[in-house]
Amino acid sequence: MIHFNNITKTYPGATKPSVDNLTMSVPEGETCVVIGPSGCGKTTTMKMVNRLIEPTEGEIYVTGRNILKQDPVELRRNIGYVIQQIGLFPHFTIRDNIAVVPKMLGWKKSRIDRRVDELLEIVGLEPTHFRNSYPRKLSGGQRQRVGVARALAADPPVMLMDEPFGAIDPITRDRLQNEFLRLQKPMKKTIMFVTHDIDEAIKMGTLVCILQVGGVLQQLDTPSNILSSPANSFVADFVGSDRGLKKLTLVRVNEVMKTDFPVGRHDESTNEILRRMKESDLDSLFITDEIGKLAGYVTLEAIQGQPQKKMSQMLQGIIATTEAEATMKDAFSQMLSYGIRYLPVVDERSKLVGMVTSDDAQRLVEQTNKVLMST
Amino acid sequence: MTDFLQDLVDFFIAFKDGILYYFPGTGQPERVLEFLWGHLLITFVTMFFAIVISVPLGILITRVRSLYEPIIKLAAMLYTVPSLAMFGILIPFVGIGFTPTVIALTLYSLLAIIRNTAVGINGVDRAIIESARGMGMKNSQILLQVELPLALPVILAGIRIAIISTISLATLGSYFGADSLGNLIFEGISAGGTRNDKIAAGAIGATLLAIIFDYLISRIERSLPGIAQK
Repeated sequence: MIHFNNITKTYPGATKPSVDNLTMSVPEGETCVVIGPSGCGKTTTMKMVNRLIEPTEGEIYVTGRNILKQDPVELRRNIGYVIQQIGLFPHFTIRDNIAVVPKMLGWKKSRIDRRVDELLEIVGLEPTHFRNSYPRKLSGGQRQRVGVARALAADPPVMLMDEPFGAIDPITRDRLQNEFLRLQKPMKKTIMFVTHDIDEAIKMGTLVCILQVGGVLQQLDTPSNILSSPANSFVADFVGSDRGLKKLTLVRVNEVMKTDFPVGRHDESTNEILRRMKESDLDSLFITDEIGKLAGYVTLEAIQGQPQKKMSQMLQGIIATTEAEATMKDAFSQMLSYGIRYLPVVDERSKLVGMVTSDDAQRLVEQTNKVLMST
Repeated sequence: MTDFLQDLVDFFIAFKDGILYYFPGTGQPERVLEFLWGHLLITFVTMFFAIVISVPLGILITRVRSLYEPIIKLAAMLYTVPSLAMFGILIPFVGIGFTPTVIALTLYSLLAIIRNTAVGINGVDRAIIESARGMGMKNSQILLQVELPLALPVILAGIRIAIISTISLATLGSYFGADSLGNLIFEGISAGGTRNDKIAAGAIGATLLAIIFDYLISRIERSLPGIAQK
């Protein structure tokens, strides 16, 4: 979909190229996150795709066409562009900001109005409330939602995103990242995404492209492969010594959770529970109610020698739970911060559906490290 | 001390007579109207040419950076020429009256408008321009839909400065044969202190015009969408 063929960019007056003989491809529907230290030419690389920067040598193909032989204005209208500073027009309403490209493409007013409302819904802004506001009235997060809506306006097959969430506070950034991932799933846009944040790269990318200073390609691979088998020591250093931990971001809880483990019910007798724990050699057990809702847990210590006490009297409250869709990084971080080794997984009705252990997380990290040491 | 008090009293009397000059009976409102019209005509024609010349020049020097210095320096040089000298240079070429007045005042207005146009355009957030270009806007669309509207408050501020100096300098045109409120002032001066009401009438008229135009432009500035604090 996007193909770089021996691209070199040397800025006027510079002795060394900013991008050096780069050949790479981003297949259709992939999100390729370009990352590297400052001066690695990642923004230059991206801006050559919509010809805001012209390459010195080489060719770039977008949807099979050599863009250097295309009218740049035409080209740009078919490529969504989102930048960190957002760049909304302050003298345009939100509607008019989103309508810029459709208007240039000659859409009818009614079609533009429908599209604007649809896009505002998609990015989570109430159309009746925001349509006629000016950008100055919006928060940073809301503005970038409009920025994304504007880039999507004419439904371009290709999107370029230059640190789109870089200037937004961490909590909002996380939410916008998740929303964008949710948006992108059905849209299947071909995206080139520039960031300097390796965590963002691993989270947002289906492909990660790591550049070294001077625009030399080091590795282009899936996030998982980047983490488990860095091509060289530069990539390994760049990804960081905590790459094992980072790999936990790529694993969802439901991929590793145990679903088949002993559970107690709150109306069972103490002796019954005790017998089950000894049988499985457990020192604690999750207890559910009659419909499977997580009620709490008991420890061996607490119930031993207390046969006459009722279950409900010895039940201890659950400190933390996770969900099947959460990442193992979130789950592990919860276990670490609460100092627990077992984390129950519940569904949206708080029914117990599984359990992850800190051993699971450690095993994932160790797997990565073993691969790293062998290379 | 008594001299000073006497002057002060004379000033207020002249001021009062100046106002009365605007009303029928003691005054000559038809003459005031004639000179006011002449004054407005000089102002409008001057501002028309000043804007038509300066805004494109201001845009040009943001596009061709090498022209920035020479054009700003030339406009600044013209601005420093004393007004009497300016008329003195122009009259041999274009004669006296309306024409040299408009030319001189246009030349004085260039600096403020050219500089403010360039400063306004250069002051537009680069990210906004980049997103405009990235969306596929043509250079002409970027200029007309983005740069000029966003630079407008600064350009208007330049026009405001130019219009006020034009209104005040237009009085001087009367000395060189143009009709403006300056006619009243010069008539009053040549009457040797017997017609101070005319001096006051001319001065009050020119001052009021300046205040009114200043107010009108500030209203326009505030009504600009998005930029205005709402």
